[in-house]
Amino acid sequence: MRKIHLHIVYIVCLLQYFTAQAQQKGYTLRVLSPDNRPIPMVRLATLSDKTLAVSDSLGYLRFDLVEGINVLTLHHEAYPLKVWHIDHRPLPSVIYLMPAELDSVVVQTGYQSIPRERVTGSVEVIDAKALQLRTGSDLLSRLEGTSTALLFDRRSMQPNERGMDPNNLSIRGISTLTAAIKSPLVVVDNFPYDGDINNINPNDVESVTLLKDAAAASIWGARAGNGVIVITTKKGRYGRPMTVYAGSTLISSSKPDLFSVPKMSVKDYIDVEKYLFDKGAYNSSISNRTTYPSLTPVVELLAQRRAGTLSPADSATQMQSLLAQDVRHDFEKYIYRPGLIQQYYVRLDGGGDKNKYSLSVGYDCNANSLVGNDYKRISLRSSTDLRLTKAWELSMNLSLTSGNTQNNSLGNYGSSNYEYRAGKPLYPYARLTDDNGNPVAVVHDYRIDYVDTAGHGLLRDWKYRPLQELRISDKRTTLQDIVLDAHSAYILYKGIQLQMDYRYESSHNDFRNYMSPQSYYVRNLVNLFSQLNKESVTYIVPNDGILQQSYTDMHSNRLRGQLAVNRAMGPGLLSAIAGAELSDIQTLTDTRRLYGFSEAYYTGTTVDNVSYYPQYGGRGTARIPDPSGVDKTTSRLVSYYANAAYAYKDKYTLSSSFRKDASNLFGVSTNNKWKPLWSAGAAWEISRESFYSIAALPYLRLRTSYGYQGNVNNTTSPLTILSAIGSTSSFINQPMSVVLTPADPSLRWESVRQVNIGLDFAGAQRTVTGKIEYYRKDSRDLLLNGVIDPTTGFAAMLANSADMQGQGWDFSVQGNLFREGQIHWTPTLLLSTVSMKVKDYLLNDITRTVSGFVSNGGKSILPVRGANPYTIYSYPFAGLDPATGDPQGYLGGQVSKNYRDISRQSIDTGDIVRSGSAIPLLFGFINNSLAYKSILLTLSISGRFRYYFRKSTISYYNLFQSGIGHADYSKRWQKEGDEKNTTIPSLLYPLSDSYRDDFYAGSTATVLKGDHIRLEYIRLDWHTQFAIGRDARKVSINAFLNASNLGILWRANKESLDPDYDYGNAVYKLPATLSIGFTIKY
Amino acid sequence: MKIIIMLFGIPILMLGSCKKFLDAKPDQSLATPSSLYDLQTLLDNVDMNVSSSVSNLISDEYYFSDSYWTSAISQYKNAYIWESKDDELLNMEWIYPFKAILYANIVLDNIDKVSNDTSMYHLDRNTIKGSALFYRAYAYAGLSQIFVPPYDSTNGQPRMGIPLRLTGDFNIPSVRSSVTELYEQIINDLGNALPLLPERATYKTRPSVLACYGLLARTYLYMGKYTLAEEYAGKYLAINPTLIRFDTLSATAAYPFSLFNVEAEYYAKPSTSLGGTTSISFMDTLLYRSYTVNDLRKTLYYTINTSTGTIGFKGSYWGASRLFGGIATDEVYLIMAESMVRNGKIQDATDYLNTLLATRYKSGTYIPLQGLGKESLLAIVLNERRKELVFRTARWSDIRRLNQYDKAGLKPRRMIAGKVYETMGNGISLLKIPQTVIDETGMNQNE
Repeated sequence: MRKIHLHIVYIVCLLQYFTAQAQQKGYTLRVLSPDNRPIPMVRLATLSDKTLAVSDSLGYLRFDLVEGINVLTLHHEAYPLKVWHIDHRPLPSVIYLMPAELDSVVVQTGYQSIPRERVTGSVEVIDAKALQLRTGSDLLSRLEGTSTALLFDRRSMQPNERGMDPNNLSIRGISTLTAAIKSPLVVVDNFPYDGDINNINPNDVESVTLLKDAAAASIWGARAGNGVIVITTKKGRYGRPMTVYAGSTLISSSKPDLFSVPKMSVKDYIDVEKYLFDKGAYNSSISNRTTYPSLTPVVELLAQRRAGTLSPADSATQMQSLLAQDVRHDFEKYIYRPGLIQQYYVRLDGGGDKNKYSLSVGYDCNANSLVGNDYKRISLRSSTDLRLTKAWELSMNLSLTSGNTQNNSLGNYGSSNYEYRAGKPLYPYARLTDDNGNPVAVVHDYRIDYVDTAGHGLLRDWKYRPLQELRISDKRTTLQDIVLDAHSAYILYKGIQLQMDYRYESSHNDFRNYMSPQSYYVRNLVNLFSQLNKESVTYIVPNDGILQQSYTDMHSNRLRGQLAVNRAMGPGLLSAIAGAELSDIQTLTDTRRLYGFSEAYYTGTTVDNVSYYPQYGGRGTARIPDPSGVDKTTSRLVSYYANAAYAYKDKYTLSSSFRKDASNLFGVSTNNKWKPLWSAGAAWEISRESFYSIAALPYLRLRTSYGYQGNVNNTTSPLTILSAIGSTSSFINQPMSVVLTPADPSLRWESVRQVNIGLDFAGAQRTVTGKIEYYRKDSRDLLLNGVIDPTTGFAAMLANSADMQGQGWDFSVQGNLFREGQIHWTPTLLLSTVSMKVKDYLLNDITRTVSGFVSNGGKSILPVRGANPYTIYSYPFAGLDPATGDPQGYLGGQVSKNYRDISRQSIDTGDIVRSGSAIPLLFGFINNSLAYKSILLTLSISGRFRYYFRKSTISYYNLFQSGIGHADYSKRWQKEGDEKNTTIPSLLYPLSDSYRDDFYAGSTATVLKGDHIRLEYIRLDWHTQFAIGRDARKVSINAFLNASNLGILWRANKESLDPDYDYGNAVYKLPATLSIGFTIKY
Repeated sequence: MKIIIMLFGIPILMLGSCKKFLDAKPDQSLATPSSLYDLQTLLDNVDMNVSSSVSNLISDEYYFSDSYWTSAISQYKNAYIWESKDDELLNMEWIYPFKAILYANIVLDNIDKVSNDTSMYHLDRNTIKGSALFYRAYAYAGLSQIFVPPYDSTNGQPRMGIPLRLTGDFNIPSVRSSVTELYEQIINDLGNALPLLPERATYKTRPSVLACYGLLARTYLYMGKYTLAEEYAGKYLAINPTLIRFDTLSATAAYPFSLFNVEAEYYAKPSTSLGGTTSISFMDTLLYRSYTVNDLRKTLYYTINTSTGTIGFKGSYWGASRLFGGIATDEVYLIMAESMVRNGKIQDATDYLNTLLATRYKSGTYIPLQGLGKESLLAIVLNERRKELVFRTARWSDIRRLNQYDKAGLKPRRMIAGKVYETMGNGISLLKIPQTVIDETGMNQNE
């Protein structure tokens, strides 16, 4: 008679069920660490947590086996729980316990936790240790270099911008053609995170799981199309005494070097101004006595010289002093500073038999390299789990974030706030201070003599002093974010658990901009609306401060009910979930402006925003600006889902998932018509087969999956959508509306079909582990404006009209070498390839002219049949005309200088070159860690290949019209023969249009290869451990030094441009960063 | 087991009420057409009051200077010499009216489904339905004058009409109708609108019975059906015979006519600002000279640029530079007079013409016409149409119908740098249908 024992044990959220039988005597097993050191105090237990043995000082475990038990667990504080399958006879004599990143990794999908051995899809788990290698306040940028397939697109960012917008992250390329919905889904502890992801303190994160393919991600259904990033925060542990972790990091970055990027020289700039002055280019501005458009000091000098109001000698002296100035010195001195980030963090966790807890507090204080821009964040997180009964577990998490951002800088060098006239950047010989360091005025909007005299003393000071503006600017954003999670898990029946999850998130974002009465904005507005009457002045805009406030309120409620099954079924193990969830996210925004605001009394006045008032100086009439507005959005989603995996003898795993979503964005009737999203996967651990005999690779596993992920664009609807447009343009002052989209019952969400084939492998004793994966994605029904018959009332309509295909390889391999010796070397190689191709759409290529494609330069998504949506298109360049220095292109196969017609060719038939992708198609990392005694040295190198970028160049049209110079000016064609050494066209004046400049700027002559290898960081860790106190509690200390952004080791372009930042044309080079920090564990 | 049933039940219960849950508006400023108010705001969109702009551009009431024409954008250039090309701007002549037709169709699709009005506007379902029918008819009437050959009762001209789109469903393919079907549709829509509309509208951008009568009279006139034209013009004038006495207006004003004046009964504006811009379109000097000294229209309609001597137009009933393309009482008087002449009622016709013209002259200077024969009276009426309805899209339609029905042989000419261009064939040149429409639907292009 068999005696059946039923045990239900909670192991990492999973339930296991098994039977046990008669005993077998006398097994001996040795437990070793990867570097072959014996591990004492390892507890061997059954799944019911019955201890069978504890290893001795030499790592030996002696125990008796119970027939029928095929799973045992190995417990040790320093190692993750090891689940040992013992049906594989004969039993080994040695077993290795691997540090967390090597084995026994648990994949968090946000719905369940699955041991990695049973996952059929493509996932990547990044543990806390890997997340700590990089430093910085935001979590997402720490993911860089930790996984294959993950690409960071920083092309739209300045080098001193560090936070990462999820929308600039891509997993396995993009799957949609709509930029607003290309971001991966970010999940924090079971639910999508509705707040700003930068609220999460990276120190609170236990692990990050990337779900890359359909089998892994399709459980997230209609939001999984771009992949999923699952963030799991730290929790306490049952049966562990309280442990305290404390740490601090200081990150300092050097001051930006504005001279690291060549600019047009001051002399060249002034020479151009003189040239243009002589040609009469400024005459109309000089003689404009109505609006007095601003002129640069050089032009003013020249005008005074011509008018005879300035002597030649004075003019020469003043000119000479302007020539000696370079405003970049002032920027470096007053606008920039070295950046500094301070991070402090304390966490304690622990647990008894029936409860576990974790409590953490973090404080971050960032001083941006722009003076006036600061960010402070306090984060508080608590997590409590209770075992109420044997069958019932309850947990409660609370997280509070309070952020405070000050954004007072007028911006980087080149920002529009420094322009001397709208669209005309600051002249390079400007000064921000006088010799004593007091703020001085720069030309802004109006001529300098005009602002001196306008209004005969009745108007307010009309000068613009950038440094004074910086000093009195008061722009603040405060953010409060609260997340409350409740989780209940109840065991209903053998291996069947009911889980209920609820999350409430509320985030309140307050933006406050107080413009003091001294600010230029207020003075300018007051002056423009001043009504002068001989001796007196009437202010239409109150001569006091302006307070603009806006807030965004977000409330979300999410509820999930789920049934989880984890039990033996037949010869294998079934783990399945089925559930339903609903979510409701409401966002409210409100912007208000108060005129006549007095900060002392906190009062304001109402103004007349409706009437038109004459503006000072004959500038016509205008209304007092009123940016007020409100908006409310609601997003609701209801989903059913199921996921099941069946593992047979640990050799074969089959998995399948199914999900159906319905949302308020699509209307109820349409929801019913949709096909559910599903996936299926299989894995086969070949190395467990008896025929397998490759000794060098004792572990080999083949996985494959197929399925669908969805992507929702919440700006579309299958119903006729009207948008209220008010009554301002109505002849009868009645409210009007427009049809935003006509009814399209066929509208549906985008779907991505993905096939994934992967091979996991490990060498003998796991000295080498790795995987190689191939995927292919077919994005269908992509929303794109398609041309439709205009007779329908719409000439173009957003329709599910485009298809795209993507494919690529992900390859990663980790070494674990010399672990027997004193030096332990762990190299990692991560390599990914990606390719994307737009297959089809409903656009008429004949009507799409090349100029838009060329000027876009691959910056944003522009679909063309057969091409990568980020392709850089170029006009083929036929060299400079030896006689004139004109750039030459091709039109109809002939060398041509008809720039206008060249730009108006059709994209499908024109003489146009696809230079290549603007995002890397091959990219990867090599990370090396070298441990010697208590010292660990880590070095990370990244490489990005097979892509291009377009460098900026001189545009004479912009130079003449707006004074936008470029260093290329000095390399221009000037005389016959120059065409042999330069491609930069000759100066041509006058220019009535910019076709010639646009042609050259968009030609193959300005496209550069982006390929480069970058030294990401070098990190040195020092670790020590000692015991203190009567009970000899262990204290471990880790201190580190991290130097990052150390520069580019190799690049294909010869112009020392950084293709990753600001499209290669950033105003300065990425400054190096040095971090120093420590953590203490007690 | 009970527990399991219960637990499966929870999510089902949770989703049971999901229809209501998912009905929430994603964005509060967006609306699906669900109330009379929504529909009215759609009809009040200024783009509903669309009239043809190309009719003015291709008529012979004005000219461009050679220098302007040479440097003009190709759309102006080509249309000016009746060289119809597939041009983006001219495509608007197709797209705008069809947009108005779509809006009208969306209203008609939803009018029986939406809830009763609870807004403060006291909206009436019938009025909104009638309005939508009128707007649709007005848009089709405009299209019929530029893309479609003149109505011909003897030959139905099988597929030379334009697509009759009668619902908002854009999946229904567009197919050219016959010319007869097109006119039937216009007349049916107006006939159906009549009992639903108020005699006069609250706002003159909204349709009324008067506007319907006016458009019916105009449509029948353009079809050559003079008895019906006379009938509807008569119905209009029975309700509203009021005219503006021009000697009450100021000739020195930048725009002498006021917005929503007593003569204008329905306001419409050209879809684009093509043609009729004072600074670039100079009035035909022969037309200008045809006004006698005491004719107030000479000073109220026109302004003379003292430096160049060119003549600009300022007589729009919009009281602005925007050209008037709607329905006004003066046009109905002229329709009445012309139809009566053609129907043999010479004396009545003379009376109507005299009534109108008396208001156009300096007080006491107008000498009433009398004792004229049919042909000479008709000639005067037609000439008065030209002089009265300047830049009101009427001239182009007159050229078409007079060439078609009266074999008048009018051939507008343009002279540019000594070279003469004239309209094709019998003077009726049709605008090309936008190439995208041809590409997407495969319909026949106009020759």
